[in-house]
Amino acid sequence: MDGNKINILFICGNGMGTSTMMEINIKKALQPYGIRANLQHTSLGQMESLRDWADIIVILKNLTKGLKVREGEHVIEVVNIMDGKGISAKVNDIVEEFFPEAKA
Amino acid sequence: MNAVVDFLVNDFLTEPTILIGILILVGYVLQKAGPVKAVTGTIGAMVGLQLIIFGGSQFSSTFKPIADAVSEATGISGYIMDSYAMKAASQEALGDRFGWMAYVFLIAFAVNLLLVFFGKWTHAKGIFLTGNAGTAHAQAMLWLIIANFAIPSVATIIISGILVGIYWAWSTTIAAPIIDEITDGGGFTVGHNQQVGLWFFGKIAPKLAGKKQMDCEEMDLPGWLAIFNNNVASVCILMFVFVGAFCSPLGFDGITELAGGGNWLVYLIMIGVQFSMYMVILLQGVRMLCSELTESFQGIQQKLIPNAIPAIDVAAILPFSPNAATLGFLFCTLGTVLSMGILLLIGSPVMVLPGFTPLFFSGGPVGVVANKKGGLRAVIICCTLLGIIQTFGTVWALSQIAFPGAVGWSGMFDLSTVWPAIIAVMRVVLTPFGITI
Repeated sequence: MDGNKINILFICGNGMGTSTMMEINIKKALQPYGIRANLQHTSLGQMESLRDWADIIVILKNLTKGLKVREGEHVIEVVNIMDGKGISAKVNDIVEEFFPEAKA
Repeated sequence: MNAVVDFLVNDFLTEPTILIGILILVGYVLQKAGPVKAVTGTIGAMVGLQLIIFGGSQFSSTFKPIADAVSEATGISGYIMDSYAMKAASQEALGDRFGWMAYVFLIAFAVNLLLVFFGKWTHAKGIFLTGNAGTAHAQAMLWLIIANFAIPSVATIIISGILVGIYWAWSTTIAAPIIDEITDGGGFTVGHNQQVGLWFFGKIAPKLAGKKQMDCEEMDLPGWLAIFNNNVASVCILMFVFVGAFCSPLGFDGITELAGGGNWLVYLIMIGVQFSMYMVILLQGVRMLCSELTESFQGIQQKLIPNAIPAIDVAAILPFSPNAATLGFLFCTLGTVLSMGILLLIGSPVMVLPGFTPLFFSGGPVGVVANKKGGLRAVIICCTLLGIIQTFGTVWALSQIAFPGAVGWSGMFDLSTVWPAIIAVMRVVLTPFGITI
């Protein structure tokens, strides 16, 4: 958490095209939920440097093999990155249960 | 007064970073972004561009002494095939003209929008939104036209933009049906560097299916293969292996000499680590330059042509079939290594070394397509064939770039088939006019 904002990290192979597009889609789809969030994106190889910052990690399903989820870490696996609504609903579930202060 | 104009035209605007910074600033002002966003966004993009130029030049200068030493010892010129090698080579070749890339990019996007806007007649549907690949296309096409045709600079920029725009509209549109099938109506198509390849392999994969079609997703792959999903590790390992093999004609003594007297193994490990570091620098630069580009272009598309199909980064299809993506990577590597062996056996004066990008971002997606249309057997055959096509296609593309100092060229499917074909056809058509170089 960053004040009353939740930190969401998007992960794809090179941390450019696909994670950017995910971030854009989710930014829009989160608005109706009134969730205050900081969003960043990076590659799997550079994920560790932002891992402590992130409250929720949104990652492509093909990259999750061998990923060890830490205690207190929330991970959302994504199949269709254009499904902003579906991913945002999962973000909302996590926020309501664990980070209610991030909701306006 | 003249001094001011002179400064603006000859000093200020010839610096690519400043030219591109001004164009980005204009973009923010047009979007009414507000002063904080406009200033921070513009400077961020300019710093990103400098990171790209720095990472690219370091990428080249790391490989240069190795390529020179092997060339001297064997007569073979080595090139790296990777999107970032193409980025580095084309921006070095363009020099002061690098900033023109921004005009090419904008013209290409406008042409793409127009072709889709008039889709009733052109049948084009896809809008190319991938900023990281799009900027690379713009600078690569610009250099190819400059290197092959003697035409005035304004015409060069316009022709490059039109060609890239047509490629974007056409390639993303023909790939749309197969992407729709893989993603179960996911609502997007691929706009990257291999979408024509996805269409092509989508057509041939059904013919390669075994009698009992086996789905890769029902297989259990060993867990250690996940190492190759990690771009930082993967670049390091691939470069260590391939550059190491490429250096082998020098012998231990030769490599020790390259290392300035240091240990040969430590030197090769450090080469792998350094390539990976320069890749991280490049990626960070592209991220700072292109993230908001993608967002604003998607905004323009949704405003002007809401029913167009967004064409996005190819990695978006990998989660639909993770195992096929991994197997695609492996068999694309196999096909590439086989082709390198053939190049060596036939005494080719050119050798190409694969980077991470064509193996992961062409091999993986073609694996996903082949699995959907023909199962495991099709994945094995298609991806091996892909590696072969990309390797020989890159040798073909390298023959057109007229830049011996290049660190390499793309190696991605479309850039090693469709693109060299366009240049070859243009050369034939334009030669009678006496403008072919």
